[in-house]
Amino acid sequence: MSEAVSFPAENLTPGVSAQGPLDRAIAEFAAAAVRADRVDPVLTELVRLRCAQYHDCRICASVRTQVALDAGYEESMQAKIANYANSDLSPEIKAALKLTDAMLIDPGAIDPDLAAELAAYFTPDQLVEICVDVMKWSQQKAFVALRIEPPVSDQHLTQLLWDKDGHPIFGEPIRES
Amino acid sequence: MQLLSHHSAAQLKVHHPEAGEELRRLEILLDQSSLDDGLLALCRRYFETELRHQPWDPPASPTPLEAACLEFCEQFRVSVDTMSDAQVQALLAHLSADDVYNLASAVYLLELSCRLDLTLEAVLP
Repeated sequence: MSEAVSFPAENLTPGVSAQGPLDRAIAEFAAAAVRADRVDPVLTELVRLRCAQYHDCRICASVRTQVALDAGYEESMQAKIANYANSDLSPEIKAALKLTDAMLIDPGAIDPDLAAELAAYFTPDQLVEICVDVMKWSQQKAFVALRIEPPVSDQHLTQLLWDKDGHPIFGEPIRES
Repeated sequence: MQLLSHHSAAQLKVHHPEAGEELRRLEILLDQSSLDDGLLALCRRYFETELRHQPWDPPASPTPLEAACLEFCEQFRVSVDTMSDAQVQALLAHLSADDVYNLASAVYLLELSCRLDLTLEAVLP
């Protein structure tokens, strides 16, 4: 993590920057990304968490999407993401995480082998959804840069739910089973 | 400010039209925002050049704000989580907190849309 960045968030003008036109429009793009549902929610959650790890986004790491929990996401999966290539995650998930890394690290160096591997597991609709998700799950980069993305809670993980339009709602603490 | 290449825009129109429409709205909004068009164009050129592994030709005589913005963009691209306080303060020396916040959001859009372009070109040529 970086040294303490002292961005004066207290000087932000609501409606001009925070919750301003650009903020709200980015939120609508993010909601559109969330509404897409052609990819398995557990895979989507692992892509989200990979983005959180790569960017060191504290708010992203402090939540778990309820839709993924309902679909069978287990916390043990999160520990496998950092070394996913050597994990027992499914080949489909590994391919999606390779795509995530390629987009986040060096998209100019994606080779045809990866494209062929992805085509074996995903339709074009699903591939575009994953790529748009990586862009959406990188939304907090702007806040990481200014270090204005505190975790929802320091004490526990928190449910992340979506309203009917795809906007985020923070829910209850997640109890470890 | 164009965010997406024609290739990406076409792929989104077919495979993820809602996201494509929202990004198109963001392009219009960036054009209408109070952010400096020249500064945004410089950021976009920086990301396009670096992410495509082309030689970067920086401005010959950048203004202090351009220099601070390019340093912010480079750190944003390489390792956002190690952005330094000095790099943020360098922007705040020229811009208000509101403007720095909006610039960081614009930089996110410019960088990630470029990454989206390159990725879609490679996986869905």
